[in-house]
Amino acid sequence: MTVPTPAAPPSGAEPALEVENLSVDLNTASGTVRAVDGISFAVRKGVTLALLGESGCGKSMTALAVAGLLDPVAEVAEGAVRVGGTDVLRLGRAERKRLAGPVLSIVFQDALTALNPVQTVGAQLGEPFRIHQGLSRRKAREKAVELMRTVGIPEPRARARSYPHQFSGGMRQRLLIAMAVALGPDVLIADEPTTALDVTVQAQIMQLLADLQAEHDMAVVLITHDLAVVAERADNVAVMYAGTVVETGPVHEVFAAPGHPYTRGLLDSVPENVDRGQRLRSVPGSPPELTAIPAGCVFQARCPMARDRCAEERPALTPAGPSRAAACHFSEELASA
Amino acid sequence: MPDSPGRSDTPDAPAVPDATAATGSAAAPAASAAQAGGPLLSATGLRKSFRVAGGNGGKADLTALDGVDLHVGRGETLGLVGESGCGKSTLARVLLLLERPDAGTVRFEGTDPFALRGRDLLKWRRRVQMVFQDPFASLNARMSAADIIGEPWRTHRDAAPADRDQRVRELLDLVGLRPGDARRYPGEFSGGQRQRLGIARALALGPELIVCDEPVSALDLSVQAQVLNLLADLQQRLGVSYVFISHDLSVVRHVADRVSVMYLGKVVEHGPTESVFERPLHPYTAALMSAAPSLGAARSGRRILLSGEIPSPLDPPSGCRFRTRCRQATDLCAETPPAPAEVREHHETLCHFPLEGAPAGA
Repeated sequence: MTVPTPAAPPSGAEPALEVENLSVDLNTASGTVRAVDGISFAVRKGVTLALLGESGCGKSMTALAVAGLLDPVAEVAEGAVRVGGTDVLRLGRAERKRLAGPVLSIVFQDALTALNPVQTVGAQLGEPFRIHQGLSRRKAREKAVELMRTVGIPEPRARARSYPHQFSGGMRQRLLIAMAVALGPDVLIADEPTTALDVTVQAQIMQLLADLQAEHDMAVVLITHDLAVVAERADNVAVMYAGTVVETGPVHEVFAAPGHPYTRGLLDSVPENVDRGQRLRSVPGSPPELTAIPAGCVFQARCPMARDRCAEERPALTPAGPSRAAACHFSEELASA
Repeated sequence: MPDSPGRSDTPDAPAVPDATAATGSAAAPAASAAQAGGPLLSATGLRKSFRVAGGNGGKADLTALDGVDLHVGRGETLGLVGESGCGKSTLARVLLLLERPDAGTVRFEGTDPFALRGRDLLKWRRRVQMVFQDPFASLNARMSAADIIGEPWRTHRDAAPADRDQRVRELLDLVGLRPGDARRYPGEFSGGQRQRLGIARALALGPELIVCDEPVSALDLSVQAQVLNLLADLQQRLGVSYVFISHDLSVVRHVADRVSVMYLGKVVEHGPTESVFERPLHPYTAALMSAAPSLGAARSGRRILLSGEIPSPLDPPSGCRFRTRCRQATDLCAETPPAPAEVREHHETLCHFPLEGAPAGA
């Protein structure tokens, strides 16, 4: 299956992360459902790709699959996840573990549950160095203190002896980011890294991520539901809906002239684009349950443009121009509307 | 499961017949937003502290509200903005009479609701209702939609309509749900539908003011727009007032007629929405707006990045509460708390050096 990779490297450089035709099955009480259905994307070093979508669209499942952290309840059904050219899905558990940290790492949304509550943060931040570089406890702690200074934690030496609950939400998120970048990974997955934070702190954290990305030349996959964050922080975007990618391309192009009615609907739902007192143009209805994904187009039930063909035939992600693609039978019509 | 569209395109949906009658006050039907006249609700000098476990095993006073004034007109929406710990939820609880302030007064149409007792108090409670943030936690999973909507009538028996089933169906219709939904349980609804259910419950007693505490922050964007449209429709049709609490500036800008910005227990800026958003007076407001990500991506790059986080309300800074994060703070700010000053018409701020004339983000 040939799929257009968003942000096809003009230089011909190999992407740091390449996901191809990835599907994830989720085992639920009512049987197996497909949470991610044949998605593809690629990210080069130094570039940020946003996986944009609403709850249940499969974006976090994708992140977990790429990071090799799917619950026992979910598994990769098919596809490839190539990191630096190697398909990590074909690797054994021990080999994958070796990559986790130095090559690929992940920042989770909820910093309080992602950190160990009964271990000092100094010990936790030192762990990557002990595991991957075999450093002594003392040396690892030195590294941890250095990291804490890098991510802007005041008085890092003293604070290394504190436990996660003794930090504010913003500081905890800084700790998680510190741990993720500790070994200078090529690929960083950030799963809603600022969702639980206040706006002024959110701005600080996004700036920190951008600085670290520039410093380490990382490929970043930014998973978010926030269009404004995508507009400001990502180079490329893959819009997800009901387990599929419905549109990809450079953010400014996609947001300026979306090629999928769902992207259009999301943009119209942002209050910022509408004058006060005016009605917001919402997307009617809500996303389909994973157990009831319709045949044909996944978005048909909520689509203002849906016709007979949409109920019968699932539109493929079709290239539109050099770096864009959309999965809609009537993409061109939308563009000219 | 399909959600009903937010707009009430049913022809002449029943316009809350006996709801306002029960309160004995004639809420203006189809009142246009933000008209003049005495405020429906006003609060002056509200203070509230909580005794909490402090450092070193002792007790400390957490000042959640430190001299807060506000007023809400009929059919008007007051937006309440601030980051976590600023006191906005405590303020909501005081307005709902769930907390008694340590000092300050609340007036609802001129009377002090905190002086009411017994039946009078119960009657008053009908007039102010609440919509909660979390549409999953705020609905009892084992009650049907009809029971949830009708529950307020079990407490307020004389406000119960003669035909409850009929009234439940009207309320469902009003919030864009189907009559057949009455028998369904919360687990059978989507997040957006649940929030509609929570709104229907808040409307059951025909309130004049609804306190909405982050009503759309748990919802997906496409669904959030439906619920915001619904709230706007209901205000148009029923003339209800909202206190709309949100951390999302773009949402507040869209729904509010006036905005109060809170920081560490104080309202640091208050004014008409346009004035506050276009030309903020307080450095905190400017920073907040500058920090909020925006779709209008072509930002000048001069984002105001505040250093640090909100100080602990257990140990707030002397003088101006914001001075520890403010770039223009001087000795004066550390020594003297600023007094509220009306810098532009109806637009007040709590700052020694208001940003007169500076556009947002500059």
